[in-house]
Amino acid sequence: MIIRGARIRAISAAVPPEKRGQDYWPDGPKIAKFTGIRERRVAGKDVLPSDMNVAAAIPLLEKYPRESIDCLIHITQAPDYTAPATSCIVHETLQLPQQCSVFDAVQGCSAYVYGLWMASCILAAGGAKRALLLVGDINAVPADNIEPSDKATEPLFGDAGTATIIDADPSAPPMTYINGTDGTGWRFLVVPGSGRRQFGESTKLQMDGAEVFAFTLREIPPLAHAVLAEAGWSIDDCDAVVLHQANKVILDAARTKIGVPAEKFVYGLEHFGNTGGPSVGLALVTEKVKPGKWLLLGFGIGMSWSGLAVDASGVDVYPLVEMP
Amino acid sequence: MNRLEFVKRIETLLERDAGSIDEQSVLVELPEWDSMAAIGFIAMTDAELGVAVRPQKLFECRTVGDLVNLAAEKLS
Repeated sequence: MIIRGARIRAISAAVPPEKRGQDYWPDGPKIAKFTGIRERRVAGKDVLPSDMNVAAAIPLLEKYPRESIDCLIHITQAPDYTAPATSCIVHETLQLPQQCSVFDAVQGCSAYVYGLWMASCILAAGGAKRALLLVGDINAVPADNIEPSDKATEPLFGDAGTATIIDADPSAPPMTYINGTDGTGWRFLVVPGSGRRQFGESTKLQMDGAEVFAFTLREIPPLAHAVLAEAGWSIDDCDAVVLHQANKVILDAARTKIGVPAEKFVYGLEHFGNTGGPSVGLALVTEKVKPGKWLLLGFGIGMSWSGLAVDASGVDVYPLVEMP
Repeated sequence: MNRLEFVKRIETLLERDAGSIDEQSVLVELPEWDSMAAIGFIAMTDAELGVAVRPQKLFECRTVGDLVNLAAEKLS
């Protein structure tokens, strides 16, 4: 679908200070080579996604005043509370105006692009004038809770938050989105003991890596080509292609199948790992991706995916916020 | 690629010495055959042979020969 009338203005991201390498595992060097992940940022027990999202948002408020924000979307899989919505808590923290629509959404690895789609639809329909999209997640296992059975997931994940300003703007370039879902794959990535319906005891993310990898190879290259076709672009028209930063094997395989030249393809894994929902926004920030014609693809847990082709010329990509 | 060449390709994937595995080799006896290797195998068959291996079938494999059979249609 092509959405007209919404413009991405600015993107910011924040990471917690703690760095964790791969040396917990005896074959850490092999894991690092295979995943492309040498270290991650870990939030620990005292920092939540909303904290990282707020840290990312604060620099944006200098140029985009809090009074001008009339829509706040907060997306995470780790809310402050089951109730109320974390967006209401963030509304207080950021001192946003009362005339502001706020709501939470839940998505994982597709969240950043999915959130842009949500904001774009609302803005283009006249539902708000300026949206603040916050996407953050915590997936890293706390240091005192790592068990041998975590080897399939622990080395992959890091924590981060992002904040993005999107405006209603009749002169904005078109945004071409394609979303999709394969609910039959929800068991491949799941935190079994995390909700009211118990699928198992564990409160950690469990992943069938082979199924997730096969899903990516099957669904994501066609998604990329479909988004490009609908936008009327070829891969040569793109200045940058940013995928969900899952791991190096997935990115390498997807890059080859999509046919992206190496110089246009963004890797942001090495020092931050797979941060789940915020990973596309985080990679735009950490890799200092130049504004231009972007193809952004989020995909994963759900299974869920969202692709966007947009001419993002003029977007402010802020420096990474290092949390104290 | 024939069956023998494919076995050698698996050998390279597992970073094992040349000639150290054959079709009779049992996967659970190969310490290098782990979750990373399984993903590497899916990537390799997809990229080099255009075969989309179903993970469920992969985990039913007992020997290297069973892995080869997953790609048999594209092997000479």
